[in-house]
Amino acid sequence: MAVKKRPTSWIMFTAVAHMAIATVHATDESSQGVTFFEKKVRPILIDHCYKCHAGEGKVKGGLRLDFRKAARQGGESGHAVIPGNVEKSLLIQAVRYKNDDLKMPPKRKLSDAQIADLEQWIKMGAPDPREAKPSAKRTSKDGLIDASKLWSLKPLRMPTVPAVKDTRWPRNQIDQFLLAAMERKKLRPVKDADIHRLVRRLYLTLIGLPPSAERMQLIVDAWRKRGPKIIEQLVDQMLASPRFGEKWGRHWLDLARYADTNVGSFHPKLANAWLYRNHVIQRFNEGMPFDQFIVEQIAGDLLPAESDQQRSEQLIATGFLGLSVRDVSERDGHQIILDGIDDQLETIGRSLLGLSIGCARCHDHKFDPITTSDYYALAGILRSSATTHLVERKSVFNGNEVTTIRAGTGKSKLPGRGDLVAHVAREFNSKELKAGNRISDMRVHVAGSYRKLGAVVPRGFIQAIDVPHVSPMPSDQSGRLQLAQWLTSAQNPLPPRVMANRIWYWLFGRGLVESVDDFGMTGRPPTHPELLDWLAVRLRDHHGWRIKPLIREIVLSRAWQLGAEDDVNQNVIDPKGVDHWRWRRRRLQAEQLHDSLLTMSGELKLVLPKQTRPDYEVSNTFNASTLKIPESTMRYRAVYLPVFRKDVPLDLDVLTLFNFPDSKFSSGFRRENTLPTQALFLLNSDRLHRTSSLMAAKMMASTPGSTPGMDEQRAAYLTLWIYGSPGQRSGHLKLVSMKRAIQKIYETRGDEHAEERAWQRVIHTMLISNRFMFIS
Amino acid sequence: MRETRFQVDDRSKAFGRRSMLRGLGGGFGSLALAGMLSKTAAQSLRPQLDTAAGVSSPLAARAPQFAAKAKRVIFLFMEGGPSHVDLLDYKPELARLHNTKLPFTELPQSIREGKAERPEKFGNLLGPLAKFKKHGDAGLWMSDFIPHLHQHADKLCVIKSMVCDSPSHAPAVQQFHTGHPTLIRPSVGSWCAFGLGSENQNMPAYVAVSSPAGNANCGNAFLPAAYQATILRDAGQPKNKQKVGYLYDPENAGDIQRIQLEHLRQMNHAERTEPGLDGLINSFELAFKMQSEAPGVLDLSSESDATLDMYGIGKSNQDQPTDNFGRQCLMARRLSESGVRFVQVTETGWDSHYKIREEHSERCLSIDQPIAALLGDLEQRGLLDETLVIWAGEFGRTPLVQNENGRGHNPWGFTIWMAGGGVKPGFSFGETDPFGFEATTNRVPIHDLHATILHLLGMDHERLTYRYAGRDFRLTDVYGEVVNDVIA
Repeated sequence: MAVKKRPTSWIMFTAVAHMAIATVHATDESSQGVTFFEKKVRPILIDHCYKCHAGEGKVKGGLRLDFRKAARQGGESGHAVIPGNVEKSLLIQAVRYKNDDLKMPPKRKLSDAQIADLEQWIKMGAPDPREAKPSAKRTSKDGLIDASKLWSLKPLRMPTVPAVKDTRWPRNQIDQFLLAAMERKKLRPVKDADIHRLVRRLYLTLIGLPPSAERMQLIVDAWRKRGPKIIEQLVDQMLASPRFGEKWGRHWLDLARYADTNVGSFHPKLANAWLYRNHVIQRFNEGMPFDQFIVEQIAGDLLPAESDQQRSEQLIATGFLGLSVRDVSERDGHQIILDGIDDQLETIGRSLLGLSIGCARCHDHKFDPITTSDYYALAGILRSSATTHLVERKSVFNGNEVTTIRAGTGKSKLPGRGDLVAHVAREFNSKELKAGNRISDMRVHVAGSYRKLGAVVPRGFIQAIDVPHVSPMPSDQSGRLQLAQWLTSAQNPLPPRVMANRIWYWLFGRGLVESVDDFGMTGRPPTHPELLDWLAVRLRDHHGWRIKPLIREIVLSRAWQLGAEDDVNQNVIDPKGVDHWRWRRRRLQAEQLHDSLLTMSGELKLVLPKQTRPDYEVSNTFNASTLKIPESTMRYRAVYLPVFRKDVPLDLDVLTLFNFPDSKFSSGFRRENTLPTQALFLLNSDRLHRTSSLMAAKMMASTPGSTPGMDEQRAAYLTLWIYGSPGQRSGHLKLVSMKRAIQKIYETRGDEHAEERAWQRVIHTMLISNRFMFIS
Repeated sequence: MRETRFQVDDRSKAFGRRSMLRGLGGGFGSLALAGMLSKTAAQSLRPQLDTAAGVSSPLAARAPQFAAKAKRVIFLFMEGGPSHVDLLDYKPELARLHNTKLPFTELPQSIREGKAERPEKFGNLLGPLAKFKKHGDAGLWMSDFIPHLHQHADKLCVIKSMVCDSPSHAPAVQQFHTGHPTLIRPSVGSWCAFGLGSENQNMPAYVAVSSPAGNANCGNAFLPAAYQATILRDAGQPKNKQKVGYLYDPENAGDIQRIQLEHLRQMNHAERTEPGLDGLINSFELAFKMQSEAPGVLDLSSESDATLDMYGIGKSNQDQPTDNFGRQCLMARRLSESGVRFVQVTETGWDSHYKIREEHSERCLSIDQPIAALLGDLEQRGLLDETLVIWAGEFGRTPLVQNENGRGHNPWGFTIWMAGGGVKPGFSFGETDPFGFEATTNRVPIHDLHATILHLLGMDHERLTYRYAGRDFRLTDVYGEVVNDVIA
């Protein structure tokens, strides 16, 4: 057992010592007792006994020594450890080597000092904090993870851009990194994507909406005349569009586990959460540097402000903490606060560091270099702040009447400018607690329970991330500002790496680090480590943490603009396409699907709703899943629809079924799965039938008459409209034959609108086909 | 010993991943692929799909880890907390001292300290609200609130010493379903679906005929979405309403849909998705299969009048008190029979703080006959031996009166029962104190119950794990002991 050799071992020992203080068992298990166990006994057991007497499965003699209960119970020969009884404890008999039938460890006798320690321990009543049976798997034997081995914690430096053989292919340095790796593996990039697919790809990726047929035509014509410059201009236009924030702000909202309601039996509303949502969208549109954005998210209330407007926006930004998942119907007030803090830490950890901090609430992290002390050092910072805002006053939650969700009805408009700060300050009372009163360091909570308190841990950060202290933790402040500084410090390699990787993931559908939220030991290592560091340094230093210019650079790379063609031979070398020699198709995400369908039917409302907060009264028996969401609300972009933490209304199935994130977790990863329930929705839901009906009606109205050539013209028009691409004549003819076959059935039924209905079914089929459902 | 340990580890991994990949049981082919590709990178399911010759569905039936006593579960959940002292936990001492006041110092600490509710709300001891008698050869005590169930006394395995960790509804209900009172975890049904798959590839593995408040209680949390509950809509409604979402074409035009699907297949073939993901088309095929099978399973109209009568389903009179719950129980039997692994039925209205006599007798009237019918029906069809039926609320109620005519929350000692699927029939386990305040012998925490349920299904609760966010999660977290005493 190498605990003592590790640079961070003291942390573990202090943590363990802290636990000792609060652990009270039947025997006398004072802090000294447990400390003695930790210092003297546990290392002996680990080094000399665990090999045969620990873990699941067959242990020798049926004896396990790796948790208290088993050690006392003993094995086939009897009780190994009898507290207080040195002579009868078989463990002692065995290590003394006096009984020929019982000599342990079998190979070599322990030193006299070690034997004395064990005897002393039994005499003390064998204090032993190892309550729970250890789980079967462990990365290291019994200690803390060695931080120096973790790639993501290594200092961030600008790597050299590699040379490539084919110097004509790369368009920028990103391409050089990728091509160099391809060349090493003897892979060749496929052809560039055709212009139609590229334009649709840009639209859906950057603003989340498909281009109209007319706009597509204009762009393609311009591109034919003036070349690739047009694409650059298009990218700039889209990055400047207010639609950009509605797409990219939503990415952040996934990480902020954004929701308009909280968990708990009476379905509490997060009635002002929409202010936070709009704020995030606005910040993404403004292109605020991400480090500044982080500081606002964590400590916006502590920043100076030049205007009321700025002050209220900064307050609203702390909704990142205020949206915490907590069950306010839990009666145990301590527990609510601790669970809320846990959620905040987990959210900060996953979103900005790619580490799951929450595990350390009860024990040192098994896989990542985070100790229980680290956890309570961070928790102390949040414990010293009041961030339970956003929840509507409890008095609202009575009565059983269920009303509808409203959108933009002006029921609770934002007050005028003069009142704004007062209003926001009332609703977002994120604030520091009073110095000396509630601002304080926390004690270790043994096994996560506030009923078993360990020693005080000074507020601070994760020790394994080597950032020279930003500024000392002041006694009269919570430390949130310092936490934000620590996160954005140039010495902290994680946030730029994590964010650069996320941007890559949002653009390509797969991160260079595939586990976008896990940069720890159990995560995946980067496929292109140098490129990741290049992107991270580029983001932080060259672009000054601005996201838009990095997006621009990536989408203008040749790699991003590749076609999706397959290559059988190259598939063998790189079956998953991680080397970026081709474009990997992705299904439309929930919001893209919702927004695209509304765009197609012409129903989309591209205005900013004042608010779309759920407007209903709640009771204990209320179940939101049957809540009706008015059609007028459903026509907003998906980002503006209300988000429910429990009982998601069935009206939101278009999002729920297509992997809209669970707002109870911070998660940057969107699943992409295929389930029969999705297929049933696509086949049979009102949403699809309504969209295709509206489209059919619109097409019939704009192309009246029915000359023989009309079918083919309409099929060509639909192809451009729905797929964003003119397609080929053979494809048009297939659509025509489908239309005619279906029309016949309707005619035999005597349907007066047989032709329009047949077109409706054709449109429906096109909408649920891969060509529409995927970004290719 | 080291080797042994590695074997154990490997086996538990294989259980999560390889066996799923190997057991190519027909199924819906590469649909699975997509489901499995939906991994978060931190998950343990990382199949080498690209090289696998074939893959099976995430719902393909899988062999348990060891010989199972039960193949499937029907979980009858009584939301709100039914009163153990009025139904199954007979307390003669409570009856004797009815309407007398226990000295404050003799009350359990939990009540004195107001752990659940304010002590001043409580009054005298409130004796059992219905007569108790011994029933069956086993002589189980049962009250007259549940007369139909008396005939099945010799099938029940009653646990009178349940405890849970929270005195509030939401956390307690959540703990009953997921093991954890507040954090979001997969529900026990999702774990069963994950561990065993579905016996019928045209049906989901986990169906909630009705779910408790908070759909998270039937959620898959971080488990793949294939293991979430399919929650029936309008369950218990008399008319043939749409119970799984989107099962019917709005025009009911199967012939037209056929044409659409044929063209869709061609169109998608021309526009293939990722290598190995062509099976996306198959999800439409499966949807089509479900469209044909599920409505049949969900349609009660093929049941005989005798069966409907037995369950108390009103043929003309839908106001009959047993009608709704009867439909749900019958639906549960049909789903179980069709191979659904885990079926949940929920009955609310047990939270009687004010008028427990009236409310409990109403509730019991609604559920008693249907549950008795369900047990009899399962037995008659030879399904009871392999179907584990569980009846439980999230906690029990106080022996003290509250608000004059009610009872308060009691998570410190309450009663549940199980039947069928490998539990001891006609058996009573554990005890509370003479008044029914607290479990005194053989306390059974929720984790132990969960460990036992998994055990009966042939799974070791310590080895049914899923890697998420860097650690292996279990239904029982780091707790849980199988209650061997209740296993036949």
